[in-house]
Amino acid sequence: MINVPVAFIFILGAFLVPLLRGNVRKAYLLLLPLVGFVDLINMPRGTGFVMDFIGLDLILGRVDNLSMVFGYVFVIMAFIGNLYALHVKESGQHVAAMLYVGGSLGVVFAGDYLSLFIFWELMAISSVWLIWYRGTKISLNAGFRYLLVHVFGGVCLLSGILLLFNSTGSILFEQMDVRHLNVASYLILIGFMLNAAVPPLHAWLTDAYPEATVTGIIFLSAFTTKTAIYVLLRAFPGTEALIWIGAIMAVYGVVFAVLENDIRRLLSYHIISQVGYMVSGVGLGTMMAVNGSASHAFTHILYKGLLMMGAGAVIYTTGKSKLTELGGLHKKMPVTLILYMIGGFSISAFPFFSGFVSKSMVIAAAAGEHMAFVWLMLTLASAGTFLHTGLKLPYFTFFGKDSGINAREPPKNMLLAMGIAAFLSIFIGVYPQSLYNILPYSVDFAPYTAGHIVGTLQILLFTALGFFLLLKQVKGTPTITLDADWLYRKGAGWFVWIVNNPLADVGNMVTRVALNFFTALLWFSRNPVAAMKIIVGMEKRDRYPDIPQHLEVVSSNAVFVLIFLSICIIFLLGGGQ
Amino acid sequence: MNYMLMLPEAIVCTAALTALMLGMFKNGRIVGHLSIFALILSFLFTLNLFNANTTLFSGFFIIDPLAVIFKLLFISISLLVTICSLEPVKKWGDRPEYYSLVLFTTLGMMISASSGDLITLYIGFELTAIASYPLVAFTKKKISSESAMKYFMFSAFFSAITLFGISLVYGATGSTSIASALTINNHSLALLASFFLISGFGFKTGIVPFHMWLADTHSGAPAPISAFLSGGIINVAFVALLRVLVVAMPTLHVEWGLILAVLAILSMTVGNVVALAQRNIKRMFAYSTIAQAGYIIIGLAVAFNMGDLAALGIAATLLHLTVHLFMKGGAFIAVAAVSEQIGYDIKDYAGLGRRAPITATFMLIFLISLAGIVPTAGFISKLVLLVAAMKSNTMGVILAVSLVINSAISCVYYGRLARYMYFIEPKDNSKVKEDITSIIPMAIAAIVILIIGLYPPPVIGLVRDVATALLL
Repeated sequence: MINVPVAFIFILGAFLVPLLRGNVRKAYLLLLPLVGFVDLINMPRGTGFVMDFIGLDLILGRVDNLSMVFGYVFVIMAFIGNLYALHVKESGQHVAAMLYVGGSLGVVFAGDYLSLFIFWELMAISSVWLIWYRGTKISLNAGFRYLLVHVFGGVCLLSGILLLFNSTGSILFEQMDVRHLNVASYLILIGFMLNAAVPPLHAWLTDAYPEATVTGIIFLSAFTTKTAIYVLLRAFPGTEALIWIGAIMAVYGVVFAVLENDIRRLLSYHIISQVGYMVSGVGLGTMMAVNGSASHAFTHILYKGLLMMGAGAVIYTTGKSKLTELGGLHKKMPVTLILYMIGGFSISAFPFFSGFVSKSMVIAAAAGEHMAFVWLMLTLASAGTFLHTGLKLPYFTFFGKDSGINAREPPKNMLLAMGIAAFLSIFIGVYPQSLYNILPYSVDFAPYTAGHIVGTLQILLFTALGFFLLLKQVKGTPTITLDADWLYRKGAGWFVWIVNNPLADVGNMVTRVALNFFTALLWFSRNPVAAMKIIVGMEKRDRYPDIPQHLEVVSSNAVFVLIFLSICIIFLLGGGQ
Repeated sequence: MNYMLMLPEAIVCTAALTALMLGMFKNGRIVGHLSIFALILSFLFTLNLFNANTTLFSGFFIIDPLAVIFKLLFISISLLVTICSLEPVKKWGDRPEYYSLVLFTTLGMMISASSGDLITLYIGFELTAIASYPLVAFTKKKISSESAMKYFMFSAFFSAITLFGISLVYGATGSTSIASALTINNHSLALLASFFLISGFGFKTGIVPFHMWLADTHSGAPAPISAFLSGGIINVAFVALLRVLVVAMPTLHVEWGLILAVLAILSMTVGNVVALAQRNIKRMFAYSTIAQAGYIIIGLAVAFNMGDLAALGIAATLLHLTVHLFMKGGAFIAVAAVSEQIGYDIKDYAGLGRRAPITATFMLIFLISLAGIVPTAGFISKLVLLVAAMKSNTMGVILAVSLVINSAISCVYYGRLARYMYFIEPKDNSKVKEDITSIIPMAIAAIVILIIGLYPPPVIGLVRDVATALLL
């Protein structure tokens, strides 16, 4: 059987989409991930697909357990995402999504930094279209900021790669020596952390994702941050700083979500929070923590996709996305509500839902390393997550005060896609061994112990109790949250102003001076002797002849020789022997 | 001596003279077709020379892979420019001497590419320059005349500088052949001579600090001629630089490696940052040319590290200037195709995606390539430059990092144009006429860019062979 890197199936497949129409295109969009899946299973283990590029080896197929976990979930999510977006007419959106998936898979299987970087950039460039296709002015601007931030991240990453190559002579994408990080590895780490939305480099996420198209955000929330987790797991496991960064992220996302009113922005802050668990796992770096990060990425992609799909269904049918404008939809959209709640229970780590079996692994890993404070932060964030995505959002969207909006269930394909994601979330929760079997290391962890279940339920139930007691205080208010993104919103403006005003003035001045210099030189060379006389004041300015009638050949030449000699002397004094 | 080796030049020269005479009693279109035919013919005969490696006129005229590849590039750009000028020339009074001037410029460029002697090089340079002055002023608008005047003044000044350099080489060695520059045994004199020569050539490449003429000239010239300036005339200086620097390399590599690196960083940064502030589309592309010239110089700076890297650096330079010729030439042709009707301000490009879908698509391809994004040739050539730079010493890494940062800056203004074309609502929604004569050259350029971008190995192999042959 012919085998190609699975990324190419999506990248090349993307270009066929615009040629197809109607049902053929729908079938093709569903078939493509299936072909990808077959190819993925058949990819040979080890290092394959090595290409030579002017003396450097580009490795497009490094296949091991870690990359396969991400490969599986990315292909599954591509299928779910395509199913959810099946009704979308613009072929450009499908092309962008497929290129984006291809880029992510390329990153996951890249064995060297150069090809990793190429796919990394492909992800940024293709995913921005999923934001732009929304077509509003806000999404346009948000997309541009998203692109610029990622270009900045790319610059950091590539600079790091260059420095790394210069110092080690290798571009192999391997585990770093985390005890001795140097400038190169820090630059690479910054590039990776930017995509993982680590505060304060996170603002692009909550700025851009809520402005994406209804179907585009499903892809966005699945791929960018999770490829970042993959590369962190690959290169930086055991970097101690990441433990704390991750714990802070987990809490940070939850705290900011409190202030949010837009449902998709609220969910976006929860991406940051959930990715925090994974970053923490990377930082812990033990076998259990790495397993926990990888499995949490796996389950997170599914249940966050499900939540985003639920929110998308609400926006798709009502056109509204503010908590204050929604309410009382449970009668009109019961199926959506049920499916959404499955996602909500999963993210809150209810027993028998997928979040329970993966999140608890990270938390247990933190406990295993005796990091009590990290454990506490992660547990608290877990309670906060339930409060917002499991209680506040569904309550004010589907129950609460009836807003009287006309709504109906979304199209069949959307419900079906949500159904698949919901099924997988429950399946993994009930039968965790299916997930544990594909993890990088063998799993020595039993999620379903009595103490564990009781502890989790206690936290969740008290959170719920608190929510209903304090219902008045937690409801959404129509405010704008100020976050780190104002830095570059304002900063970009200042930068453009500086370029447009002071810098442009300097540029014009230099040009003017040079031009005047040459004009003067031309004027001078017409009759150097007369010109000298005028300059020293022996002649009046208007006596300068238009035509060099009295040109004294010898003295003119002498002037030029003088100029030339002085240039030579200056030069020799400056840089000669 | 086998004069058949000069057949490509002979064809272009004959066609230029015929065009001049035919212009007295025929209209422009026929002359235009004639020159297209002559250029295609010359292209084919040049292709035929690919494996030749000889000299004519006792070393004055070289035919080697470098000369052949540059001649092919020069003929291609003038072919593209001639095709896209067929319509606009009618508006400028239907004067057939336009084509004749383009052919003479091409002839000058071809002679420069083949020169083995500083005198031949100078003749080629002057022929290129003198024939291109009237082209810049061709529309007879005030701004065109002004920019032609500026171009002329700066150009004359730097011609004199070049001549100073040549006279120094002659004075020191008693010969004007390029190879004799190597035999200057006084180090300071050699440095001084190369300083003058390289300033003279550097002026034409438009690298900072010799860049003042470039933006004004590009924005004043008719858009097809801007394509010619950016795609063709700049490369004349690069072929001269390559020829002289390869000779100067063994003795002067320490000094020039550093100077070229500084010039490269300056050009990239100034070009890109100033381009950010431009609202006039032609000025924006002109500053982008300055930046791209900086990228090209990186390869040369790296080439001064002796050994294997010399070939890789020169190959990177060759590849990027080839790609730049097509993408910048294409972008200016796209400007030429629509700007007479809509204007030159970036705001006029709003909604071009709907008003002129074909031109906008091609423009998007050129922009993507200029920004260095997959899957276009601009990405491949920048990658080769990066690899060449990062394989070299610390200076190379500094160059590579500044290339990366500059590419990021350039994304802003290329992206801004793309955004205007596709996302900003136009004031006037009427369709813009898209003529077949401008679509054909854009399509050729875009196809070349995509082919190199999607399957680079043959082209990379080719430029590496040329570079290796040059260093032998």
